Amino acid sequence: MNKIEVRGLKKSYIERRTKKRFFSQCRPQEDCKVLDGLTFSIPSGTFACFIGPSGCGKSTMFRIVSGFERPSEGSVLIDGQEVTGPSNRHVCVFQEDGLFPWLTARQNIAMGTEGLKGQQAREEVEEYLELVGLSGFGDHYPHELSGGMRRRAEVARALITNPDILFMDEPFGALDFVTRLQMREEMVNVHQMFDMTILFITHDIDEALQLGDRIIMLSDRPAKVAWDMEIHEPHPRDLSAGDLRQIRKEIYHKMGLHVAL
Amino acid sequence: MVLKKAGLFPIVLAILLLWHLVTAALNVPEFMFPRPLSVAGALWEMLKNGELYRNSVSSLFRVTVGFYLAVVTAIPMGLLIGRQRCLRTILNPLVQFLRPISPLAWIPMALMWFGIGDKPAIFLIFLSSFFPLVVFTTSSVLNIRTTYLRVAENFGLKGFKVYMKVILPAALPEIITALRITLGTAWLVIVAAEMIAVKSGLGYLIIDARNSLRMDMVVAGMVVIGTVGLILDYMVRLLERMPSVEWSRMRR
Amino acid sequence: MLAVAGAIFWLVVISLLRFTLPGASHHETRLKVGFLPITCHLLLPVAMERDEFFRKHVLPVKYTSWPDMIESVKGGELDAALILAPIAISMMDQGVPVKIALLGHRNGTGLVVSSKRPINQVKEFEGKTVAIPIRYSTQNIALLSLLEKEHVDMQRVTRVELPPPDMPSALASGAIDAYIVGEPYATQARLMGVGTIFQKISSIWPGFISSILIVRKDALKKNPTQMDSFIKGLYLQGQWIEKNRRLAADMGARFFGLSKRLIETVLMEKEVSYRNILPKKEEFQAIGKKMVRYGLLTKVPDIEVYLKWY
Repeated sequence: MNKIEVRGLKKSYIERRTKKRFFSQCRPQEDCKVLDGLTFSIPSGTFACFIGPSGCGKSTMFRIVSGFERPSEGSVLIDGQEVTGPSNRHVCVFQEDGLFPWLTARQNIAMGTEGLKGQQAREEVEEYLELVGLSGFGDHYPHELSGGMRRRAEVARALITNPDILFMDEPFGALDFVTRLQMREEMVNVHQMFDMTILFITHDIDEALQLGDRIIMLSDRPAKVAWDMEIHEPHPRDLSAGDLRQIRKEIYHKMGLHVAL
Repeated sequence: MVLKKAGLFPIVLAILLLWHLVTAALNVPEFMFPRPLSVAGALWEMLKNGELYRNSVSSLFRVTVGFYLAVVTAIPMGLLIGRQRCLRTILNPLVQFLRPISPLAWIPMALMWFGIGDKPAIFLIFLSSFFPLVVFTTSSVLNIRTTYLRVAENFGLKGFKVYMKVILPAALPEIITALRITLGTAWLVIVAAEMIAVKSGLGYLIIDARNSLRMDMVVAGMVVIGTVGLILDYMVRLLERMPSVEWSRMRR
Repeated sequence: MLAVAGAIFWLVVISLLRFTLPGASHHETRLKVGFLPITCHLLLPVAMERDEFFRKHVLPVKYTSWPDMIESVKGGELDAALILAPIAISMMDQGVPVKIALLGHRNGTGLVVSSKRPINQVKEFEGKTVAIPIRYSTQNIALLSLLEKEHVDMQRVTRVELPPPDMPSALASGAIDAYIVGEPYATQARLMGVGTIFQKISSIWPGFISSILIVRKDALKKNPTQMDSFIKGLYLQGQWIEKNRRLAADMGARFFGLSKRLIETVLMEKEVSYRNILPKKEEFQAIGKKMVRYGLLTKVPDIEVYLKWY
């Protein structure tokens, strides 16, 4: 059985505003179709990357699959069960900073240790701090940490619960280039260490190529699956290598871009 | 940096000097505006005969009780109204209707229901603090970043836990600001209320001094009221330094 | 949380301080008498100082405005009060159970005009602004009588109600052109150099009554002997004050918190009289008739005078 099974996923919003246009393509009082029949299956343990043009509905799909919104049509099944809401077995890392600013890094990560007692919990938290390279920063507040460190703490918080699925919506978008590259490397390590399914949204094609076992490309709104392919290159990947270059070219082509490489 | 180290002292001194020079130069009669020296004398007099202590304690007691009552009722209510839309549609119009009614307009009712003494004053303070606090708290809840709420949902936090672990801490910085503003208003209201309805307190002190044609005591009373107000504000600002509140400022 | 602990600590502290304040009220058996700090009420401080009975059995309650005292009398919080005669008559009209027991004094009032722009004749009041303490005062009635006598159109004289302590400064700043009020606020303007007396009240209204002592009927019923001693005590002090004005001024100044020089000046003028302060029903009926004439009452009520104590 596939871990995540999505069939014919459709989502429309009713545009209520008459004065201001919310979606530029939608007329007021009209159904605004964001997702137009998405279908894909993701086996357990896959690192699946979703790419697509800006505003095509990736985040909407993310919210529906992770359980924060309901689909207008179609089904979303996880482990064969209909998704009715978010679950702590399927942890999300959102685009915006989700670390609670009133708690220290340590306290934030400890949120995932509900049910564990004192000493044991402390040790676990310490372990995960080390894992993401934040040992010694446990008692810092988020506003005392850099952007990259905050993201790492969030990842640690997600991982400490040992989730089945890790949902990530453009998690490294706000970071600087070098930090982003570092985070990519760490994500690869994380995936190799833990046996979990990862659903990763990114606008950065190179990032998808670097990380994903599976790349699903969404078309412009109303979104459909434009391309669905697997990548079998072993890690670490060299993006300038022949196969990957070819794939990249094809992706650009499908997106309608004619950039010389 | 030097200015900061020197603190308030030189500024206060300068004001006193200016005050004395202006009143002396323009030959302002004492009954219009007293000289700083006579005000200082009146202050000392009130300190010695215990009037200052008695009335300050009365006013502070009333403000404390009234304000505390408002805080423990308004904040939970504000949190609930902020979260539950159905509560909001029912209660919001009621709150917005009662809020603009000046607490001083409630004085006749307060005297009828509570007699004279501490109780009507406490009631007025409660009124003047309750409605703004509810409104501020509600708005701060509505301003919480959606991401935090989603994270809370994701981690399976429900019911009471959500309020204590996420809603309240997230809204806290704005609530503390609201406390500061509301406390300032409460202090204003108590002085006004004591001028009309009560027989003790700093407001009453001023009125009594005025009736005894003692302008120096009136200004001395004003100085005390201003100083206490300043101290109260400072105490609340200390709350803003807590790390669980500080983050809101630091984030810019 | 440290903050919460601190908050609770403060509450405990301030409550303790509050309840250890002197005079945190317990059951009060003394006679409660309301007064304002004016020389009309001089009988009270003198009695408090000179009479043991008063120190033991009487509790003076200081008010800062007439309306507050009126509420307290109506509500039964006070057993007796030194109050303006027209207010008392109006209360009787409204059915408040009080009786008139004594006069405060006679003639202790002044009509003051600005010394910068003085008024010399009654006719000149036309178009001017005059302050009165409250419309239910014999001061107001006296002013209206004076205007009527000299055929001055009352509509063309603007009357405003001001708290007496504010009157001298209002005159000085030019907000009002004249005022009529009980002492010491009339003499105050003279001492400040901002006003002069237009005419003595004794020539406008001989035997002028301003404040009187009223007692609540239920207090009389509950404690007749105590009330009688109280009223008689005040009456006797009146006779003493007549002969010992300077000493009385000193007592009054201390009790009211007013300047000694001011009270002395008022008393030494000898305008104010503490003789002949027994209440006479006819005098009050005459005041009542004037009140009806000037629209302050619809009819003269049954005025009850209490003289059993004498």
